[in-house]
Amino acid sequence: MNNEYIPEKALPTELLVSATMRELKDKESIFAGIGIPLIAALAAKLTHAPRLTIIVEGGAIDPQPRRLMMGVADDSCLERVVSADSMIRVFSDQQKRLVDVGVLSGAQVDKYGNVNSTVIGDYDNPRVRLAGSGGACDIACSAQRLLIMMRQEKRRFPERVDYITSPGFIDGPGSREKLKLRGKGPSAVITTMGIYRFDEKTKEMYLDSIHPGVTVEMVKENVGWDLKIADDLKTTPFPTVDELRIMRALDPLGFFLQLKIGLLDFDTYVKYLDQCYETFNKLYFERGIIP
Amino acid sequence: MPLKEAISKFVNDEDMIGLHGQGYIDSCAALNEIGRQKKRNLTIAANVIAMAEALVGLGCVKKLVFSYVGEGIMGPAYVARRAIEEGIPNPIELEEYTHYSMALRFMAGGMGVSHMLTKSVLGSDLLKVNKKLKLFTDEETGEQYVMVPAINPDVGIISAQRADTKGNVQFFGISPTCTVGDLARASKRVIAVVEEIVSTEEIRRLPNSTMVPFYCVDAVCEVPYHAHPAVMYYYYIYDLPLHMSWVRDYWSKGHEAFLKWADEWVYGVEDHSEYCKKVGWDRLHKLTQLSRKFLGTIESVKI
Repeated sequence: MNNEYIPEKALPTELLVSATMRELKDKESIFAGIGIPLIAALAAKLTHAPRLTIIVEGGAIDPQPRRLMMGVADDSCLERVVSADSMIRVFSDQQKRLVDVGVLSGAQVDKYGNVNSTVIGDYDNPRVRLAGSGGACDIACSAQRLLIMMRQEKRRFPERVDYITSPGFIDGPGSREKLKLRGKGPSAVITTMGIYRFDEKTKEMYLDSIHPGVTVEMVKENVGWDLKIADDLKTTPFPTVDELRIMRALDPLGFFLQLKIGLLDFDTYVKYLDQCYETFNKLYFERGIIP
Repeated sequence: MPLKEAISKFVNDEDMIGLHGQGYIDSCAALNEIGRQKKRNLTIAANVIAMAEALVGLGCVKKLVFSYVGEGIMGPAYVARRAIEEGIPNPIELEEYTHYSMALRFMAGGMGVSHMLTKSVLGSDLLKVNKKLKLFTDEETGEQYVMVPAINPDVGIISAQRADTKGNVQFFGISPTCTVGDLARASKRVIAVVEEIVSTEEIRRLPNSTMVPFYCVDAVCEVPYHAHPAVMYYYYIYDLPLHMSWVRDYWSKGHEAFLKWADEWVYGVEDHSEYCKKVGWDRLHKLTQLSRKFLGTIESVKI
């Protein structure tokens, strides 16, 4: 199966990765987190954006890892970096408007692009306690362009999030300007069903593109407010064969693309790492990233 | 100084413990020893509560000061969540920040000033739930900032690669929260846990890597593989399968299962060297080999 790069058979997660890749431009810098965002950033670097600078919040600038990162402080982030600095420094850089793009995710996103990754229910008496901001709030405040990646489910798209971990346009027009936040706010929400953007005047999220095989009705059923649809609604192109080949090569066991992260024995782990070392090196060489 | 002695001498009940490792390079040996010595009513101050959530399950913790409580790609922090949502084994208090603001707290603490300013946090609900975060207005420009208060832990646990016996600590790699230097300076007492002790002559050869000078340090403990199953840059990679099995097979399966884990991995071993024997030296050496393959060694980054 793994050698079958049939665009029409791409998984929803692969569509999500491919759509995110296309939001990234060559020569930009991106603050990317573990999992899908880093797969998208690395895959973009290996396809249309070879001079993309990846920054990992643990303090790593422009790593060229020969395996997928398993944590923001994992030593994979340190591999072949141009600068091994600190979290405090890279977040300061972002606050100083030196970083172009930030990516984050969460449990809920609302119509103004506010994201919740802290708590479901009441803060002091939580129904579910989530992990909290981590760097998400800092990224949302200061990234020059913010991408939000979400799994599309109705409960994840309420009209108003239970708690604002990461500010989007907060209460609508003028909110971010009043606070003089350093970042410009969300630019796109990319989900397993489509791509959303924000109306320049109302700051409200609208559906801009639907993924192939998805209908507007399906999307509306999975959004908790009366969602507006772009007049010129587009269909997200399928991932290309090359995009599929690269992203699957980056995640050969499907840890993130197929949500297969789970128990594995030590020998498999070692074999996996050895395999990644070969594959990644080959890809970097083939794409001219490592001379 | 043996780690056992350092923990017994410098960590008291009711202390605030500061960590800098993002859960990934914290000294798990030191955390386990704190658990073994049954210290109580501790406050843990760290950007990420991951490995350290075990101390919550062991009943050592009354409060978390943090910006992220989770096991990253492993899933939720099941142990900490049991305490937060169900009060098992005891209810804990939370004081929450964001990564940047939390790191700034350590920096302020290390600089000896009361606050740092940031544009982060504005517009989030954190300002409503954490009263220690206050607004500051620049009188000249009228621009608003958030004032982040300094933090000064009672004990800072420095997790690093090497030091001399005087306490000059060298750290190589990325500093995933504040730097080890910020934490050491912010803390009232400092325990440095390192992979190896080297001579002062060796330290002098690479002075840029000395992030903590001797005058900040109270104890130096040489404990090989002290961060395992987490990472030590240039020494060994992450033992993902072991950490995964702890989280999925024990920590996620209720408090009874967690205690079974504790009996095996914390109370069941005398010290970290016995722990290493239990993990298996072959396995640990393999993790080192892989680190050399992917990252090289400190030797290879020397000038």
